[in-house]
Amino acid sequence: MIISNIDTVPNMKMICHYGLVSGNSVRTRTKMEELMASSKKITGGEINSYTDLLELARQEAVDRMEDQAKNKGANAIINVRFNTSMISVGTIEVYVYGTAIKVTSMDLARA
Amino acid sequence: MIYFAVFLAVFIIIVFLEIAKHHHFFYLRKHENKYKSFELCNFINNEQSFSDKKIINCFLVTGEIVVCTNFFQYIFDYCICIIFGKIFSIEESYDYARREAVLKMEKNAKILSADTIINVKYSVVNLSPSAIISPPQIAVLAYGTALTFEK
Repeated sequence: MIISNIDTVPNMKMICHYGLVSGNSVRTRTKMEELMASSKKITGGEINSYTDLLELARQEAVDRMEDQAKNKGANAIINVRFNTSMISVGTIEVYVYGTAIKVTSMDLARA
Repeated sequence: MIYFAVFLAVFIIIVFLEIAKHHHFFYLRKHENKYKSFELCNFINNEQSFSDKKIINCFLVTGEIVVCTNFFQYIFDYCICIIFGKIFSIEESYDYARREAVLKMEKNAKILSADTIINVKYSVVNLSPSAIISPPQIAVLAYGTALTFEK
């Protein structure tokens, strides 16, 4: 699956599009993570446990979007955008959306 | 005597945290210099921009980070912002978070042998419950399309 946040797939020709596909993931920090992060709240700097949380949420959202695109018969997703929002304290939502399309290589398209 | 001890302890903590912050920024600059050759841009149409090069691969790359502002510095800055109208610690945290997120994205792209990243975008959210009581926890997600050119 080709995923990009630009309008086209380089060296590929779009055959058809399947509309908007999206995926979301809501993750919250555990009490253990919160405890570990509390020291960082005083000293400042990167909170590794939350960074991992964000990474997992992002990966899950992208996977869900990919599954949706595959079910529609697409082989690429273009114009992908991420939207991150805080639902409640320590709960994060990652929403990803894009346009599912079917592409073929330029040479095949010319033939 | 107790007041002096508390003042001294807070002063030592602030000095220590300030050194740690400079250390962070020093390593950030060092790593940025390492990835200086890596092209980053915000073009939309890549085919026009890289017409002289043949693109053989394209994929989505991301870099994410959650950064917290130093509590003592935040409280101090919040007090002096009455005069200056500027909260320096938050400014630095946002700057650090964005730069580090881009750096992580570049690292991910480099691992996958990309030559450039185009259409770079950010998604920023504050995870802190309240803006006044606790310092902000900034979550930054940087993403873009990595391209690999034919050598």
